Amino acid sequence: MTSKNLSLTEKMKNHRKYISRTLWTSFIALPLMAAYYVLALIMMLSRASNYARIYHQTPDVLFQEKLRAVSRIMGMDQLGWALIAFVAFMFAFQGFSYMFSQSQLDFYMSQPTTRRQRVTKNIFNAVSTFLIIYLLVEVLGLIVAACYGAISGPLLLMVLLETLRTIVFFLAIYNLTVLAMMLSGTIPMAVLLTMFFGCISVVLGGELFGYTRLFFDTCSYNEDLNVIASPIFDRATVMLRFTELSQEKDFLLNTESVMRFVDVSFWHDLDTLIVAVVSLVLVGVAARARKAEWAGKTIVYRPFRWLVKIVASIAVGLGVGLLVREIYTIVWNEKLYLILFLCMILATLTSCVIAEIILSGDIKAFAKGKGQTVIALALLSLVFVIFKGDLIGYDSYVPSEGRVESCCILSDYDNGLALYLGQGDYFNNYQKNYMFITNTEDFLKLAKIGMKEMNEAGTRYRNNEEYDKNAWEFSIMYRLKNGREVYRRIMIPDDTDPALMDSIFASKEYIEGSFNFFNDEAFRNEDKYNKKRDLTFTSCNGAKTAKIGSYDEISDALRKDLLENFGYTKLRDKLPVGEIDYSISGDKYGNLNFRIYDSYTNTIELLKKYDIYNYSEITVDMIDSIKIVNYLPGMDPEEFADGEEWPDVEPVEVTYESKEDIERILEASVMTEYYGKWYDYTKFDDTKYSVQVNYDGAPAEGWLSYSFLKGKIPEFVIRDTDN
Amino acid sequence: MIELLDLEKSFDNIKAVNRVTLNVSDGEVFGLLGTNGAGKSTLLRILSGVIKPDSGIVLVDNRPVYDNPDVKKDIFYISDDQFFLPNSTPEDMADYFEGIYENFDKERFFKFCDGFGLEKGRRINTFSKGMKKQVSILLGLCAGTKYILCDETFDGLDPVVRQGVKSLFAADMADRGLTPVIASHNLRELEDICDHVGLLHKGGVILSQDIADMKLQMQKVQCVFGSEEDEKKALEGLKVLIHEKRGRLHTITVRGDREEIETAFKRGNPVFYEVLALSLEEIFISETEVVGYDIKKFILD
Repeated sequence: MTSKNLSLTEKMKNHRKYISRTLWTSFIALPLMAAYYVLALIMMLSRASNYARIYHQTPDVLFQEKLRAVSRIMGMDQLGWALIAFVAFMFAFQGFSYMFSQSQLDFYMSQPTTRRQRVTKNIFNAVSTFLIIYLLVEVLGLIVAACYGAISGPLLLMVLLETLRTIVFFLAIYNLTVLAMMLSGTIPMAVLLTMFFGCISVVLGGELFGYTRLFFDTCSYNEDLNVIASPIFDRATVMLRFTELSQEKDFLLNTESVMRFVDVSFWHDLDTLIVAVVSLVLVGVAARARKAEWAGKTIVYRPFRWLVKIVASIAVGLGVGLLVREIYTIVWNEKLYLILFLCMILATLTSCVIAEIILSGDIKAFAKGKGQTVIALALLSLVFVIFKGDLIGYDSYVPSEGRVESCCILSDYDNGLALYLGQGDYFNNYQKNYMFITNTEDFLKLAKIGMKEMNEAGTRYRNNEEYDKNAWEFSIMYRLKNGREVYRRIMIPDDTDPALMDSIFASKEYIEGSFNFFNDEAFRNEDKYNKKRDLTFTSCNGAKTAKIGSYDEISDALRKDLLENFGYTKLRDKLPVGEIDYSISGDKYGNLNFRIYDSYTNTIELLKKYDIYNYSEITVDMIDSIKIVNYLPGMDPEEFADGEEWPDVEPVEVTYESKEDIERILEASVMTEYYGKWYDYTKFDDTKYSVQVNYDGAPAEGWLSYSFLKGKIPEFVIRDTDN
Repeated sequence: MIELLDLEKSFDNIKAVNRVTLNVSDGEVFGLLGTNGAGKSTLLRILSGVIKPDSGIVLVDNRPVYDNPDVKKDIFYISDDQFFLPNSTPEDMADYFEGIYENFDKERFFKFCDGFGLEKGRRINTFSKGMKKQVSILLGLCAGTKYILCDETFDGLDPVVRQGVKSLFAADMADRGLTPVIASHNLRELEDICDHVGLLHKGGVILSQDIADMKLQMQKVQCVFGSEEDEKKALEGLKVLIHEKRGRLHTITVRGDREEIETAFKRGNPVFYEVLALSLEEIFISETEVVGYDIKKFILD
């Protein structure tokens, strides 16, 4: 802190003095960062080498594993950002804690500098000290990596990009902490305010996200929490995504694999950068306005004090609302909204009182600041009214056709493959990544029907009525032309126009985007190392297994079958005849499990080629006996209202062994061993009876599950079981 | 020269400095006297540019102080609660100030430390309160600034050290025109060092005057009159500030020069009279009582 115009040498000398005066922060930061960026790297690299030796990895695989290890410590998927946040917090407190001490203010502010010079110099010293330490440990880390032979061009690019990201992240946390300090008069309040800045956008964003799920029936669980102005959230969110990307086959072997990381992190990094810049500007403004005599106050600017009180109290109120909802989840109904609202109001009122006591540092001040309390309660009520009354039209929102680029139906079907390459299912976001339905006209028609039904189902649920009335529930996504992605949950009733259903569900875009066989290169690649290659077909006649040439054969057959034979009307009246199962095991695990219809001729041909297609209709001769269980003897299920519990009566079981009885029962029932997505299950009367067909050849436990067709239950069954 | 005009500063609803107008001339020792909470420290913080006044003008050599490094490099402020860099030694502090004040004389500082028996390599946080004050004063003297502002700095120094510091002040005043401004709540601390005293009470200035002028312009007379008639004759036309009577012995504090007062008393033909030397304390008590302040209990601890 000097007014002199210094030469570079003098500046360096001054910087050494600065570091020597701030030894405690540097002494904490340097060993911690060295431990992470150097020692942990050595451990990771030696671990990779040992692993390779034990499991006989090829040199290429080992090389990539070493690059992965370096990236895990120094690359964009590093965990060290938490340490960086701590160092930034510590440096900020070291540099600006003088503002809370009258003696230090007297000491520093009487010296011949301007406030601007003092703040600028403090920031410069902190940032340059951090950079010196960070770059030092990075260089040491790279030397270690080079010694282990774990260096590549893409890795260096990754480390360089991560260095830039880390600097931005450090600046964001540092500036936010300094801003919190500028707005506070005491260290405890500065710590609280830093936490407030760090958490409030995540807390409010999370709470509003929770309220969207709580109040809006059409809210999709596929929608991710998105928060702005939170560097911690930005980092944590992209780190999870990075962990997946780092398992890609070509990771760090080419520049594209690095740029994929940039694609994922760009908007989050931009958000962090904006926080860094905005908070720096605010630091400048606050530093200019801050008075030395404010040391010892809690929050130094009165309007900001009000803002903190209002926002924090609303956040508490909203949080308590979610807690109440959580407690009452299983018994939720329309009337409980009143209790929820009262709890929110009470919590906000209480937190206003507590906030006033904390901010005034005086317990007697609990009743002060009534104006802000009223504003907080009014805003909270407004939030409640907006959500409860859906004033934003969330539950009725269907974008106009002109605004929609394409649409997608998410996770509505067993899409076939699962592949575990180390970080969850590789095909997790398959539909989102591959389904681009451009027939938006029909999609929006379907969506409107589905939104209406979903809202009605929600109302039924809250009124303790039957929720799901023969309908299919989907999560859908609109990709808007402005780049936004809008998610909704819809429920399509089974009486929807079949032509409209087919226009979407039988389309090539839907089929290829829904079933991951159409983009299964990763699975095919892993299958090359698969030694077992056993394909199993299971039907009502048992399971048969054969070793096949490769997975590609199944995939090719299924692709043809799905394109030729999948669709709503094509499968509406069919149930699967069995299911196929195929696994990759060893270093990586993958699995295929898919139900097969009799119309899937290509696949059936393949199964026949390997002599494992064993499906045949169950005939009377094959059956040993049929056990019927009547769960409500002497009573009609229709007598009971939806949701009403049935009386606790002893079920009546009758086993039929005569061929005649068996034949009549088979005529009146259908095998329901395999679930058919589009099948019309309303044709069954399966609420009261279960039908268990005992057959030696059945795949599990020697019996098959059947259901009676409505109005066709044989008289003798009714007679035998209802008395 | 330091000029304060109509200076005001409030902290929340408390008026710490209330329309203060003072001048500190170059080369004189200005004593700022007042009770705790009178506004002395606030005034010094304003003078040193730590805090900004709400209104009024502060000029140091005709330049505003606040946020003005050019002026602040002429000022060294020693606050009541001195701060030293964490774990620093006198040597560290000298290094630090060498980078702050262009004319800081490190050699002189080390010499002073030796002279005062302060180990320059020892951590200051192991020093006694008085030793810390000595370090602050010596740093201030060696900073080479034109003005040195001391807040309660002399309180608590032992007489030998105080005398030594006073000598250094006197030498710097003579050599380079140092102008010290010394705040204290204890008049006795200031009496033998200050040329000019400003008395603050409840944020306002009760008086500001050269001590020599004060002593010349006020006399204390003890006398015995023959009759009441003589008393009236003697006091006629005099500005009596305090008049106490015990038996026949009168103790009268009167404004005016010695010659004028002696002439007046001779006119009353007293049985006995003697003009006594007034201490600074008595002058203050007299002056403040006149304007309605019962200052005795504050400044004579």
